[in-house]
Amino acid sequence: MVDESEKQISPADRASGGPEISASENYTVLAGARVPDFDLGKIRAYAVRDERGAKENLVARICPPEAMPRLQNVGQVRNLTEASLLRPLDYSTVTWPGIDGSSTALIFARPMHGTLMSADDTTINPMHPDEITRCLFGPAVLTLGYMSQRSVTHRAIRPDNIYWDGLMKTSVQLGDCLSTGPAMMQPVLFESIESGMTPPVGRGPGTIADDFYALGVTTLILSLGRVPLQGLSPEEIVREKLRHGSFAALMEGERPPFGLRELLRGLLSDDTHNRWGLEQLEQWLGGGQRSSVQKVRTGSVPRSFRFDGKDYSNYRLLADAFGRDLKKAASAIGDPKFDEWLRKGLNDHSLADRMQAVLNAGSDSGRAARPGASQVTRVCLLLDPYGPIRAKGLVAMPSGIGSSLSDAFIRKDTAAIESLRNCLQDGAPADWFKLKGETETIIYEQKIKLFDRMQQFLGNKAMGYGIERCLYTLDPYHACRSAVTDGAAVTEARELLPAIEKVVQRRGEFSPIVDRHLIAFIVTRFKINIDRPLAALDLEQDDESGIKLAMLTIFARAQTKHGPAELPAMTSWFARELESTVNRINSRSFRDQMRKRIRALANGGSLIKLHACLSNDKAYRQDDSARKKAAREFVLAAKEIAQLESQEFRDSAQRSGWKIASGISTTVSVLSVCFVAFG
Amino acid sequence: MPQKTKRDARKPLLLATLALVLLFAALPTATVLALGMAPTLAAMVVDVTPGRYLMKCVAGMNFAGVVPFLHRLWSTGHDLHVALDIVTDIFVVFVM
Repeated sequence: MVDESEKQISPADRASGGPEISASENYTVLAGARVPDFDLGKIRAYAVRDERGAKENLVARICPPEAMPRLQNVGQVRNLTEASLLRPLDYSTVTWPGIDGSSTALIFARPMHGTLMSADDTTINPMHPDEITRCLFGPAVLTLGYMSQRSVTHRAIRPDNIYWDGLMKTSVQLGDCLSTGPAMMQPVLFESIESGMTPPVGRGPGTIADDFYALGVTTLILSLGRVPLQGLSPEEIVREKLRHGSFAALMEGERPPFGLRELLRGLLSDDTHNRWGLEQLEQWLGGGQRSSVQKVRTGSVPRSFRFDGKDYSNYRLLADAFGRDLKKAASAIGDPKFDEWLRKGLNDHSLADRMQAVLNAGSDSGRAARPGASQVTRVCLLLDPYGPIRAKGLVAMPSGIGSSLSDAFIRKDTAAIESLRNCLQDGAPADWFKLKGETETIIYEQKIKLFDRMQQFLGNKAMGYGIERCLYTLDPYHACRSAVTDGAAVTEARELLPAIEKVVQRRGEFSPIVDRHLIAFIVTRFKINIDRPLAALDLEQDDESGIKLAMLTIFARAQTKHGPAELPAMTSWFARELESTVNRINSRSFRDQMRKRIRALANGGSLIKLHACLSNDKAYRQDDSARKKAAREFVLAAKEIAQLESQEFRDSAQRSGWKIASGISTTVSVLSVCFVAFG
Repeated sequence: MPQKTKRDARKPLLLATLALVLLFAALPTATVLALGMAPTLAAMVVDVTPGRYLMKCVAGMNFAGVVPFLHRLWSTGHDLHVALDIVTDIFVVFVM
């Protein structure tokens, strides 16, 4: 047991120099005052000063982007005041020296005591079952209950992340669960078989059953006083758990401590439906739960299947092996021996029939000689329904697809991004739920719909869709990766416009103005309807003014929803760039009036007003109808002039003249007759 | 339309008949008219435009010039000698 955390940061440490980085208006992180005993893997810890003058011993974990802190859960965890949990006091995005991109500073009050065990320890003094029950289970079950009510999982329960609590160390406090992605720091030992088969980044938040499993392993270690399965690689640990069942594998032939046998069997059950949950644990704590959980060795079959030179007598392990080499797996699955093994070796005709249906899918002429990668993925899903999705270049649980995608983008791993794109487009995550049966399809309807939407997004090549849209939808706190923000940390909608404003202020120009990431981020996070400007962006790819006008529309709507009230640099830039668009106005007086108005608005900082001015459809319509009217009048006048100048008209005028002249002449003759007759 | 064409075709015949009747019934008047209305006859020949407004114009004015001399002829006994005096007077011809 360690008590290193009880050490106080010396004033010398605090005064050791180094930059002071403001994490919020209340907290300043002292970059020169390291707190190494509070480090978490590659995440470094530093002392924190409370600007309000509080004397509390504070520490900050500086999480680099690749740690993928669970920012979406910070609010929920911070409010769990009754829980025995290390809760963050605050968090902030910071630019940390030596770390590329923006980091997240999570501020904690340091626990009173150290952890139950250090990460490097392999043995400790065994704890008495009564002490485990009293000190660990009471607070842990209560805390997991509160977390469960808020649909948050801990996913970091292990002895080196549980702190002693109380003056006399009579209780415990679960450690930080937010500094990294879910289960990203969990050794395979503490993970259930299916989660252990998945790379840390693809494990996802899982369910409370995963937390209970980790609690079971923690209990076992504390009660035995040693870490089991030492010296084995993560793959070997998973294999041991599959071969013997988790409970037997972790016990390594030893007898469980008196009074903990049923508890450990219940918590370490490999069948998630039989694993003890809150209800059973509360009954057990109350002394009521004594029912035995049957030993389950999931996936074991009497007859083995030979694949890639090895015999597999566990179909979950076989699925794992298939997932590691899809090409060889395709050959093996296409071999009639595989079907024979399913029917005779596995003795599961229903599974064999479902497998057959998967292999026949998409082929008119029945089963293909060599199934495609997509079919191998589905075969793996049928062999190991609760295991991860095993697609080409990807192993992840459905809830870990988002974090896998985030990780691939952070590492700029184009191959991994492509694998995830193919996996989502192929519909494997939705099939993970569907292939389990009707009940699961109904229970997980929302998740199936989510992945169906991802498939639709990937089917659309326009801006605002594609893999970028999937990234920001599946990881709601992934920072905007657009070049427009120039590396600024933008995770929430309200942070985007101020970040762009700073970039425009600094550069004096706004270029590039748009990219796929920016649009996908806006569509996902702002939750505003920008279908029309998006369509305009798509149509006017070669028209710069059209693009700028569409972007102004989008930014104006964003400013309407999230502010800030003034964006002078952006407004001024847009006004300058879009002034030329008034040339499309036909009326000279209206054009001059618009120019004056735009120049006045350029200094106002309101994109909303500028947009309203430039997109005054009513005025443009009036101008257009006036132009049409003038054109009509011009055509009529031209016609009249042509008529007046025509030979026909001249002839007609001449004829009229003659007619009049002859009339006059006739009148004169009649008058003369009258004059002579009566005169 | 065919009726009008027929009537147009009969017009010269009618005019010729009228002229012949006039020649035999009132030779002095016919003499004055024949020489006095010579510009109208010339205009009738020259003007081929539809409606013959030129001819009508000349005819009206021409007739207005002839009418006083016809009046003089008729008021002095309607004699051929007088008619010849009228048409041979250069000033009268000028007026007509």
